[in-house]
Amino acid sequence: MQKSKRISPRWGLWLRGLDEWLVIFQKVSGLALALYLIGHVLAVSAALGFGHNVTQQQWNAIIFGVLEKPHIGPVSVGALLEYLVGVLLVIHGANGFRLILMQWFGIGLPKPSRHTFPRATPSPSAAAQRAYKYAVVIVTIVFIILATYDVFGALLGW
Amino acid sequence: MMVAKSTLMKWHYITGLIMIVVVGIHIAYRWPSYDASVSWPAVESQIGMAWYDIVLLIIIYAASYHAMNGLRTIMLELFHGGKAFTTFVDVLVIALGLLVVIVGTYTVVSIIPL
Ligand code: HEM
Repeated sequence: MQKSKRISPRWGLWLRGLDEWLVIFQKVSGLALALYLIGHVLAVSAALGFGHNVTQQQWNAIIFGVLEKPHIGPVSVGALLEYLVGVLLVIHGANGFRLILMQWFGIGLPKPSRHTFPRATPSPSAAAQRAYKYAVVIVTIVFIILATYDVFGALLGW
Repeated sequence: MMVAKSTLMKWHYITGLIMIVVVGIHIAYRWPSYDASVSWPAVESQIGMAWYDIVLLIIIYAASYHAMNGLRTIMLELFHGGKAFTTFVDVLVIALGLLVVIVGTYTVVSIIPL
């Protein structure tokens, strides 16, 4: 039997192109968003007195007294983090939609067919794959522009 | 109770699609000024609308399932344990998911003007 050499994973293999980045990004952003979800629901529920102390005092005490209190210059660290979460969310959501269209509905993938040798299985259309990925990038850029205005617009005097 | 991985992923995709709509609404309400949208008068008017509270409930359920199933996938991919480890991860994500669902539901249901 032929001896096969084991090749250990190399980062260079992963960091090759947009595809590889999107795989890693989907998982890292998913993890960050999942942890954020837990903190966000607990914090906002507390700020609303868990529905039993729905007052301005309670809201301001938690939101502005704790979460948005630390500032770097005029910028609230809390608002800055929300901005970053928004950016993670939109890349995750746009790329997630791409993955759903491909992995669940098979859009942009060749029809499954019997595997024959050699290489008779059609490969995914490169053009369709590129269109998908550029759509993700464009949605992200548009969102970042809107979100920057939304969070920092007043501060920057726009 | 065993649930097929393909069933778990089908629901991962369904909740993802649902979230594009409901999380989209939640984010759209931060427009045109994030700061103004989280000030008390704005928040009071947002939670005072029954339909918006229902959107919040849908986010809580869809996001908890999606996030906890995702967390489970990530942990099982990163650490290759045996059956006991899988059970541990299952219990952990179900507990975290229930925490979010119970606290979130309790708060929103106490507020919703119905
Ligand atoms: C906005 C709409 C969203 C869509 C369309 C979406 C879609 C997806 C898709 C398609 C995947 C990859 C699944 C796979 O093929 O393995 C994924 C992974 C993940 N998502 Fe989302 N997602 C959304 C929002 C969220 C939110 C808000 C959270 C957290 C609260 C989240 C948490 C995760 C996690 C932790 C993973 C990693 C699981 C894995 O790699 O399999 N997602 N999402």
